[in-house]
Amino acid sequence: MAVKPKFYLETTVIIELIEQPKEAEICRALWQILEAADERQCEVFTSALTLVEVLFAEKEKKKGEPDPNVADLINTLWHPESSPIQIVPCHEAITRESLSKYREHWGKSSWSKSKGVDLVHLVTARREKVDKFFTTEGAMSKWASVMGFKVCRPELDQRKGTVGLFNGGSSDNH
Amino acid sequence: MAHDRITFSLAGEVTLGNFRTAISSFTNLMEMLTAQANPESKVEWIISDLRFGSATITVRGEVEERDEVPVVEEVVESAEEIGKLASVHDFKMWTTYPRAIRDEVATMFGMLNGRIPTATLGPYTIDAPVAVDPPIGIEFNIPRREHTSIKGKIVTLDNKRGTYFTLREAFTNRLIRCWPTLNYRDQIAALWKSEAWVLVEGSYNTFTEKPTMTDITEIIPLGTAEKGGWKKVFGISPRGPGDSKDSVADIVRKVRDGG
Repeated sequence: MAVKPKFYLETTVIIELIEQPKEAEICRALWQILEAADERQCEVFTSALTLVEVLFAEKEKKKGEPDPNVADLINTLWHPESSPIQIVPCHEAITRESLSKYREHWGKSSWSKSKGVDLVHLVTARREKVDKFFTTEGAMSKWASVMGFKVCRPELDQRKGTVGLFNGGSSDNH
Repeated sequence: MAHDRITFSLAGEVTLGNFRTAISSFTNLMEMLTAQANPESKVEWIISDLRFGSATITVRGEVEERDEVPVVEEVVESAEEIGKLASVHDFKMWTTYPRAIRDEVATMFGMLNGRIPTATLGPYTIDAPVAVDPPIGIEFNIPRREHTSIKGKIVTLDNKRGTYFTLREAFTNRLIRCWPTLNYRDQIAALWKSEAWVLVEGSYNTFTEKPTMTDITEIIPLGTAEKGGWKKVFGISPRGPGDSKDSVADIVRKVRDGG
């Protein structure tokens, strides 16, 4: 049996998914990835920490009050019935390894700008043995060689479709 | 009861000190195996035979409730399995056992030498001290116990061996036997009937091939959600005029920097 590819979604790409227009390339790429995960062609992970980094949507911030409908919608990303995203618990072993990796590399030029939370995401992904770590934070890519996976923006596969993204129903992927 | 007793013996010139050490570890082993089979068990292990010459003790599981008969059988089978493993001298086989059990096994058979050439546990004969750890320098996936939370659906509810339920973990479909306290009985029954998704917090144990969760501190219902619901989240809050011009990456960076 072929091994399924594994991907990690860092907080920035989840927020992009919410705030970018659907036709944006990153939304189309994420749609393809999540649809493939829904069809069990790949596995998608994020840390439990991501839940508290996606605190509210921009329109809630503008209104100055929480909107229960928005909370329900965002929650569909974290529910096993409605989402293929697997949430990895953030526990002490992960935070200890994050600290250790950070201290090991912070002396390198500009690496000290990374924060503990960056490392928690990276180490969580490493423990899940992902092939690619998706983020829009370009500065995190320097950790690729340390972690052993590619750190990049979600990539759109031009051969696949994303029609479902625009009609709210099923896509044209076959 | 068919399988309710187990015999442990040391053959040879057994000193009182040897016997005390071995019996102490054998007692600890039986108590740990009982707790592993059912943490709430009230099974008592009664000495049903004690002989000298080759120092031999047989213990029998005594139960107050018939419900506990399977617990005794499971413990006796587990003890016999340990005897079998000890007799084949393959340290790799011990990696799925908890540290505490491995230590007792090492002590029970650690005294085997010229004066005490063999021991038995159940039908198995052990002829040398048992190495329960890999040689230094060889790494294994060490079984562990951690306090965590696991998400899934309650697929079975069992009252035969004290209340436990089986959680089918989301995505992996792994079956995890969970031992809640009695406080949760009604809540669990309701969640099982409604086939609800739950997040169970407790101690996750991978000491045996069948993972378990004990010391459960919370069972959180996750509510309902529509299959494929993730598709509705795309673009729910697009930025418009007057919104921040900073990139998402910059905003997240500021937050992580404490800005």
